[in-house]
Amino acid sequence: MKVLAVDDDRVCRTALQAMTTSLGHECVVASNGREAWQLLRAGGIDVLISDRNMPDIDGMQLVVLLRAEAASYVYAILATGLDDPLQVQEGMLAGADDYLTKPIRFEDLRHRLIAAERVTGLHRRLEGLNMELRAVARKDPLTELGNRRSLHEDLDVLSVRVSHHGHRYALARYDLDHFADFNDRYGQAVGDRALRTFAGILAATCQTGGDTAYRYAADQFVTIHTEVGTDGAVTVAGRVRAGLTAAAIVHAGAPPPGLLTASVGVAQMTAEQPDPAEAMRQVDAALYHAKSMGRDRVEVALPPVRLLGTSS
Amino acid sequence: MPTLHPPGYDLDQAVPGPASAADVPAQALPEPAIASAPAIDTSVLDALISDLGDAGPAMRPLLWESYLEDGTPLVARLCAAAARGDSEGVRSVAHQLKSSSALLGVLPLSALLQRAEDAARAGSSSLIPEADAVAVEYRRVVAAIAILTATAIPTATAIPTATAIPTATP
Repeated sequence: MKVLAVDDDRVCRTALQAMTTSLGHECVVASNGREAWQLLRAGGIDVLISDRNMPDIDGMQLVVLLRAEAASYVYAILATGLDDPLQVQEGMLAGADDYLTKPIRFEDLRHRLIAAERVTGLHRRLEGLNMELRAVARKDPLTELGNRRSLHEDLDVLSVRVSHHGHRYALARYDLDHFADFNDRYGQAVGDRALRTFAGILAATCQTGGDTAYRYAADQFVTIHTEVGTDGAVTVAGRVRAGLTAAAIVHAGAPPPGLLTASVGVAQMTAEQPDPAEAMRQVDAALYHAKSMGRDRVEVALPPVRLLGTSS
Repeated sequence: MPTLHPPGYDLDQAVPGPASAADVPAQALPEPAIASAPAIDTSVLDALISDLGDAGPAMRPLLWESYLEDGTPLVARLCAAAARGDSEGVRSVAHQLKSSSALLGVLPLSALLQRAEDAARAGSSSLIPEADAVAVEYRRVVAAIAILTATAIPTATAIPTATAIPTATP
């Protein structure tokens, strides 16, 4: 573990560092609360052992700050020279996990660090599982693309970047043409295979441009394109549709040559229009227009909506 | 009340060179019970050094050196705070030096510092006796450390006792 030892007294600080190191842990030191807080904010500290009474920011305040603002869990031990149960209770209520009475004895420290190692280990495992859970919650299990939830979360983040930093993003919404009929004709398993194939084409195309693809609904997908206007998204859509043509997924219900095709609507988020919900409405309108114009094409949402791409 | 030292009294004068701690005049110590105890219980630091394993031996001189370097100005600050009636100053310095003293086995001084801290917290009208007791005991500690480490005592800044510092209120 990495331990931060904080004490305004050099002898106590030096001895604590030596004891912690000899117990097999890395130990960094700080001589006051401000220095300690800077080290804690930089991250990577597993355990804080702080003197309770220090000038400026004392151990209690440090623990309060830690619990209010630290990104990950730091096991906190308050060291006090006062044999005062009330002070110990105050420290524990403020967020300390344990306490040590000064002068700190080697065996006491050893025992506290055994508990600290167990608890920090559990916290790290929990943090790892939370990250995995979050990743799973954001992923579509069939295609392994981001799902609708992750799309909306990402759009909210991008909206802030657009509003505050002047970035711009283009959105494209894809819909596989006559896909309900495809499923009826060939069955769910073949339909799922077609969806995975199309998702693979989307992912591969987006990966080369640093863009992101999501499965939005059953046979609908959305892509986000960074720092481009609608033209950039239209170019990518052309490559995706070419890839789908090359995959040559037979669809007897489609117009000649009888292959699975996609319709695409494109819109953008700019400083003038940073609202992600409005961008999704525009991209939906453009997609609807592409469908109404005969499918297998790309439409861009611009007021007024105008036709850009045609059947290839 | 014991003491004690005329203005300009130089604490260094009370710390003999290679002499033993017993050479410090017993009548200068306000608490006979404490004065009769060794200034340093060496078993405390020995245990810590042993716990530290291979790194232990190198820590011993480092800890004593740090203790003396920081302790001398701290005792001076404590006496100055007592002389000007600054109970919070006495309390905070006593608290700080108390912990490191106890850690290294400087137990009589740690007890005197605890007494000074308690008196300061209780709002005692004069903390000069407590501060003087600390200053006198600290000199005994310095002498004992010199013997333990078999080194010459660093030329510390003179530490006036609280009595030797002119007070704002008589």
